[in-house]
Amino acid sequence: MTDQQPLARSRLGVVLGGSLKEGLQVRLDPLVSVEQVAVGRYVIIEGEEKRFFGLISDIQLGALNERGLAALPALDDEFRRQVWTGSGLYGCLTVVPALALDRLDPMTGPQPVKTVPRHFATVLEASEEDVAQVFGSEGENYFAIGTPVEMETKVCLDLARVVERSVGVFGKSGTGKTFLTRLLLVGLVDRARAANLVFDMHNEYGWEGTSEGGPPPRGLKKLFGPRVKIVTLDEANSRRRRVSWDGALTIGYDEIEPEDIALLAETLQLSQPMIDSVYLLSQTYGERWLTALLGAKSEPERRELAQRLGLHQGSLEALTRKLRRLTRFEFLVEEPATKVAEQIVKWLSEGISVVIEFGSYRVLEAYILVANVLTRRIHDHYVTAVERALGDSSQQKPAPLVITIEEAHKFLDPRVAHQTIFGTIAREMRKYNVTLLIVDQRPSQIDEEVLSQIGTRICCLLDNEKDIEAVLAGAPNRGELRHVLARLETKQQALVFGYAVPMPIVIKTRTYDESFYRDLNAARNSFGEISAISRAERERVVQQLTDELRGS
Amino acid sequence: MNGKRIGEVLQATTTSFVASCDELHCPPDLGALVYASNGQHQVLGLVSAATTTSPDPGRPAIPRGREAASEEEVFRNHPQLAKLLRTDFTAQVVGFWEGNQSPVHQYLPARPPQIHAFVYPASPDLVERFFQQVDYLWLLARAPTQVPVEELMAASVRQAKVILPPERYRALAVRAGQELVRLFEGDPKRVDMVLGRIWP
Repeated sequence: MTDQQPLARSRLGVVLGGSLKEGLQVRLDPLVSVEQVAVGRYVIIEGEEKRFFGLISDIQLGALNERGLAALPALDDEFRRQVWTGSGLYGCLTVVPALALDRLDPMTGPQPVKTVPRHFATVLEASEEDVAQVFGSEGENYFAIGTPVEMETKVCLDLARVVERSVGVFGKSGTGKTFLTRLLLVGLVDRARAANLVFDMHNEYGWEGTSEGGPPPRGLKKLFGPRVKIVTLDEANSRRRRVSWDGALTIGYDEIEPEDIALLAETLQLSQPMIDSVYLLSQTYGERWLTALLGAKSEPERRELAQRLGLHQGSLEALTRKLRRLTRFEFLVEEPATKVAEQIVKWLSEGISVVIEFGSYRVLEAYILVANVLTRRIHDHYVTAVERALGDSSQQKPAPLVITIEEAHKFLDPRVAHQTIFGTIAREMRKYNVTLLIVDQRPSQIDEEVLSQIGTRICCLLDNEKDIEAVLAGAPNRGELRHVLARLETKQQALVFGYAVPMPIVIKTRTYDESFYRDLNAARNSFGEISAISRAERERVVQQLTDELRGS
Repeated sequence: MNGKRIGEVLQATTTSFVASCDELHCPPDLGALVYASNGQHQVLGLVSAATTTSPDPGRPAIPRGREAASEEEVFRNHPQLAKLLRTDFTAQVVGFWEGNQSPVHQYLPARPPQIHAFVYPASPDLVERFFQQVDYLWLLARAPTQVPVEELMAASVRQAKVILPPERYRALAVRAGQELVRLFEGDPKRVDMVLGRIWP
């Protein structure tokens, strides 16, 4: 990064005051109309020793004499309007400074701000180059997810950081969460940053997605072929959709644990005594508890079961009736024939991503049950593998794994987050190279502790106060970000902040179409091949190319 | 290169001077830019008031025209009146300049004009140079003038209207207006009083 004077930056105004905590107050120059600026835009503040990068979080109309405003004539002639604009009436911005670049030591790159610029520091609209400086350009570790509002520069995520801590994609229904998630998954698979396990409730990510108008967006399998496996829970449905799947998952009764049922309490309308009975059953029958319960088909059998457990027969029958609802899922079988679950674990540890398609089982019971059962198994595997690697240096740590779950609040509700495997992963699995990609529309219903562990947050429009509060919890300058968040457009816009970006930014999501597929291919060809050769070799190649260019 | 003199300084303070007009009843316009030397600089003043009275307190002006057919006849019949009456004007000091080509400073000079210094009207060229700035409004705002200060401000800007091309006059009017908004701290009544008098 250099300190040279930039090319295309238009001046916006000057810093009048403010604080690091509350944001800076910037007065717009008389010739800059408030209508030319927008919340979420990105600005540069030229301080004396530092150049600051900041985000416009609010825009106000200021008046020199607020009380006298009422007596002001209507300003319906151009002359009076011109006189008053920029002198007595002016536009004001609140700018949240996020990064600072030391002019004396530009090589250190942008650092998080620890101070504010001086009074009357000039505020400029950030140029494309500035944004590129901060958000990097696409490369092996950087994946572009969009562009800043009304700019062409790419905003890139640091993928190594994306997988290092959990990621949250939030936004109310219909704001483009699925597109963003698909984009992120493509980035992770494309740059081979992590193996992904995707619980694809609505069959959006594996083969092809759905789109309001336009051709269906290609799924991971279509884009990456053998590097992605699709495992279906509903073969008939997958066949109908002409999906080429790699396995059909079945879950045995004995794989279901009482915790899984506890998680379903709300959806299956189970009372606390019913849950207690499930634990009692499990204590008595071990992992075959569900077979024992559902196997008691005749009335005498059930009476005997109730007596043995010391339970009231009526309540046991009620429990049986409710749990029998689960048997309508064809993937739930007494004795699973194949070992697809083990295959999934194997794929994942080889770095191959797996998408679990739910087919027509787009109900929460199925989703929660499968996600929980499968993830528990994977969790156990990763814990063992990492611990083995720690004890024995010849063993390699498993590749990072990102587990994508939708409707995350159902798993991470404060009432159940402590019991579910997802709560555990969110809280402590970073050490074991497993993180979550949480997709949700009600972040306020996610356990606070879990939410605080989310490193990178990508938020589309949210309008519920509690949800906004929850998403921004723990973020610096959340008061200002709140304004930005509430004013996102309903589609294709998202506020990205946290661990994988140097500063909060509003992006216009990258389009997911033919040109995206082409870019992806081009990018893969340019640095995908280079990454295979050593750094020295790369430098030699670059030198050679430069020489050739000079020669011609 | 001074123009025709219009008067002579009779009283001078750092912030204002009073001059007697060479011709009875012919003071410079309200707000007009005039200047007189202080021995070192040319001190610029804006005409803030004019009076025509009898300088002798024992011989105040009395009505003389009851029998006269016209006002001119009064003076023809009483030729002594031209000597007994005097037109004086007051100018607020709004700056100074050192030589013909030197910039005009819109702040107070170190010394007031000298008594008996000749007073000259500003040439169009000087008016144009003067209105490259509007800082003088701040000096005017604090001056204890006889006329409302808004009147004086408006009159001073208005003199540029006949000198500057329309688009430059408009730019000046806008700039002066904006300065007034700051000067009057956004008081719309006072600002609009001036704006209404300088535009269109």
